[in-house]
Amino acid sequence: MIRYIGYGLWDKRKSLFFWILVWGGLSIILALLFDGLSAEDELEGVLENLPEALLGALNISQGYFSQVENFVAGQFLTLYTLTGGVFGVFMGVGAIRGKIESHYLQTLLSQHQSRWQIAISEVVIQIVFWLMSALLVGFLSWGIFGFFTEQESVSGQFFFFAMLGSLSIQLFGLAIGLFFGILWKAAVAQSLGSGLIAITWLLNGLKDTPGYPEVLKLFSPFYYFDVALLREEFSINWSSWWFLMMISLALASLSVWIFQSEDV
Amino acid sequence: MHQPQSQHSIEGHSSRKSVVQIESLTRDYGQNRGVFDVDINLFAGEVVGFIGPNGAGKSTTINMLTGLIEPGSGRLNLFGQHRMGAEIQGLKHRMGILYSEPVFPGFLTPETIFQRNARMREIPDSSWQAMATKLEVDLKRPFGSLSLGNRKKVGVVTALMHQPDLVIVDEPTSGLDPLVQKHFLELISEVKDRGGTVLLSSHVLSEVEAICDRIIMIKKGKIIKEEQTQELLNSLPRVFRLMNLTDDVLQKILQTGVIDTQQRVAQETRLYTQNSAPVLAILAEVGITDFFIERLSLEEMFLEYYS
Repeated sequence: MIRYIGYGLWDKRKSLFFWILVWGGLSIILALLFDGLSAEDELEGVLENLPEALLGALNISQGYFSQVENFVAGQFLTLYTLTGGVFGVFMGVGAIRGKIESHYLQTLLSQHQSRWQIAISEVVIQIVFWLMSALLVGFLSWGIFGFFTEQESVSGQFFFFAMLGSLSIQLFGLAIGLFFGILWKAAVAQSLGSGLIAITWLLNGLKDTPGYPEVLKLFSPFYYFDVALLREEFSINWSSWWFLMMISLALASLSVWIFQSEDV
Repeated sequence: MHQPQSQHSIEGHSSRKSVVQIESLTRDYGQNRGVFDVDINLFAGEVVGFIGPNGAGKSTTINMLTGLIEPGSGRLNLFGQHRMGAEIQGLKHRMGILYSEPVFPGFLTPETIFQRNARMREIPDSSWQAMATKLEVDLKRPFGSLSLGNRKKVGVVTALMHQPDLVIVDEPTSGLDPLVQKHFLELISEVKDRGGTVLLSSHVLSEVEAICDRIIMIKKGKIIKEEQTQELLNSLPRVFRLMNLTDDVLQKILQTGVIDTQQRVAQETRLYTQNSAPVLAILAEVGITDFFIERLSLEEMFLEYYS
């Protein structure tokens, strides 16, 4: 099992490299953009006149154009979390259903490792991938925003919790991908899973709109990663974070369990 | 007309070690699709051909035997242990499985695939090197860029590198060139020589005829015939092929009552019989020496059973 995980991680090294490269490149562009925008004094004034609900929907706040962390929370983090969630769905579908449909699982099962071992190894590989991604993208983007912007210092704590919050969304995407992949064909699971991530993200953006049903908030994974709290206190709500992680763990466990009796 | 002969066929095996014992295995997909009450016994040191047309239930049976799909009912014993579905995984170290189209990640080279397989199975690299050389596997090209035949070679090596006691192969030689086919059949013979068991599902009946000790035929999910290859071949009708046979000689032959079927194709007359002697006697009597006599091939028998 350790070997299987080692080989799986080694095979993902290029994906990880390109993933980090993309976010590193985007960090440079956004850092330069922030410098340009922060020089325009009247932009902050524009924000003061916008309704809170709209600011919430756009994931921005006062100080958006003057404080790197606020800007990162509204721009970089939104993109990183959303694409990470969708990418997580695709990786989750690929972990089991993709291997069934490509017939690679037949080959894997012709060796002696059990279905439990294969499925758990696949989940561990994906978790380690996202952990490494969070660690490397977090450090890289923190360094880039610190280096390319003129702000005196950029909070490492902010980037740490930003990556931790994103990780919970990405792992939720992974669990949804695994679960939907067990229930449906790969193409269907990918469409439904990524659609779910996108729709719940949109709905979460509208949660502060007057008249928005209170109970609906709870069904969005993005609700459990409070970006406003991150922006204001450079922290996350631990109970929400753990709740989402437990939901993801339950979905992944259920998928692995169903897989035991799944036709390959 | 054709009844399963499993009882007959396993006579003489009673003293041999049972490797696979399948009893009343059923997987019903509805609308008469699936396999129904399949009984198969495989013994140590034999190569068994598993034949049938597409959709007959070969793959379903093999997939149940390899634990890829759960049987609906029935019993499956492997190496003397009762195992079903995912429980079979624990015996995979004793099994070698080659699917008709082996799949590995396209970016891996055969060398990496073999090394990883050897390490996962905790066997030395020497276990695959000689076989890879014999089959002329291109070790350095990524798997994704290999032809079907070369991919199959990779599958053959990974299926056999750990010297399994039971080898299950599905369409092993399709896509292989004749030389590699020959090498593959030699490898199968080596498995048999060291006491291993091979279940070979194939459409290439000439190779089934050449290397299998026993043949199991499946049709519409049911075993319709099971017999030792040599006995089966001996029981097949002989075909007399005669050119420009006159009607009076033909009538004389037909009067013997030993001809099962006759066919005229242009100037050629074909006479099918289980008993050649009376026909030969008449041909000698009328002085006909220009004829061929041949045994019905397994392929022709296959067509007769499945048409």
